[in-house]
Amino acid sequence: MAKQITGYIKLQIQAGKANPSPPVGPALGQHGLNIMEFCKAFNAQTQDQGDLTIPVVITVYKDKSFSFITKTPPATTLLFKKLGISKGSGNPKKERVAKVKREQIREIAEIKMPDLNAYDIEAAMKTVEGSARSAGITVVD
Amino acid sequence: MPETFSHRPPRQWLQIDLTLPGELVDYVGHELTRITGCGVQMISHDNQETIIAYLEKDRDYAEARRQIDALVADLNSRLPQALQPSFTTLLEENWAENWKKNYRPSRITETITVKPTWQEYCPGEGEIVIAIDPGMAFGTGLHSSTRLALTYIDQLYRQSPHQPRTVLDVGTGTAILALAAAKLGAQQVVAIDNDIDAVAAARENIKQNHETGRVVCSATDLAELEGNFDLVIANITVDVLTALSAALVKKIAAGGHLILAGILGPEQARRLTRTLQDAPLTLIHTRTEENWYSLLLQKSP
Repeated sequence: MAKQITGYIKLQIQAGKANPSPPVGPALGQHGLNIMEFCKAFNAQTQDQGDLTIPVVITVYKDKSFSFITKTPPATTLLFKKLGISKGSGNPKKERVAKVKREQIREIAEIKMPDLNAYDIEAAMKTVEGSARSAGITVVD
Repeated sequence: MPETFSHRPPRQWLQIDLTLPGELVDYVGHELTRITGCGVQMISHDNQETIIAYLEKDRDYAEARRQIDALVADLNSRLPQALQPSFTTLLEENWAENWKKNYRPSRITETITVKPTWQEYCPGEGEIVIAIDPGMAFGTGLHSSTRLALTYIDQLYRQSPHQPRTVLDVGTGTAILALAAAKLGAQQVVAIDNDIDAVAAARENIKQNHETGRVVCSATDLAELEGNFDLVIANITVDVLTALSAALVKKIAAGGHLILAGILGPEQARRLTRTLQDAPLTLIHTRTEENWYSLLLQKSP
């Protein structure tokens, strides 16, 4: 019989760097999960992904066991890495921080495709373009 | 103060809870991660998301706090309704306490049972019991990588004609592997870890197991350790094992053994084996459990 799920925990943590400090400790601790076991498994699974931020969804079961899946890095993180910038614009109407070519948007959309609720690559590109605009990055042809 | 932090003052964080429209989550999550240097938690509800970020109150706190206020002000200037972040102070505690309620004695090998320090357990004949309070350190005995390493240690002491007299445990965590070696017959065990919280947890466990005479734990760097050991154990992750491989091999006495664990999946096992291919080592055995791998190697006499 399938185990009863009691909740989900969504975190974004640097690859290979999970430790019992926040956000992992408080988030898993309040569900009574084995924090160190999660850290060990997450770090082993993501250690090859450099300094990228990795979204992870942890499924919490009634017996205090858990499983987790890691996702592709957030579109903003991938955009910033590709453009070599670290900071976006809080107010894109006033300040634009960089330009991104549509071809670069496509490359990121291809990476993000497995995690986006997108029918095709064009739809995925629109989502990534939205992330670019939110961060003050202008999309150019 | 919780017992876990008797070796240092507890750390403090500013917890920032920020509820905002879904389309901004990606960007704001990135910015808060960049500013705080910590990850974030996301909670979805209706069409909104709450991001929970943590900023440690250390020497860079004032500048980071200024950047967070500037970020919120910038976001407010583009939104029809101002965000209402909440700021609270979070004091470090042993977040593993909750989980400990479910930690029970567990038979790992034919000989070794691991039990929580706070529970009574009556061992059977020939059974070796290791009492562990994990604190915030790795090594409860329940994880496959620890179980695999314990199985090899047990095997070396019960089946090998030459039992290791001296043992080095690198990245010891709770000291569970070091304690297993001591209880099985090692005369001198050196346990090291670069995490001072782990060293504190390990020392407490060594005391609880009455092994202070044979097991010594410190944060000494591997490169600074003197002498060779009949058995070297490292249950960490493959990137660390790879980085330390040359130093680990140096620490094994001629004819001694090396147990490597913390290896996830066959590809990581292959990669690590390739890293070691020019070392004077023979791969004796590979053991797997739930896609975790452990290697037993022997140095040339």
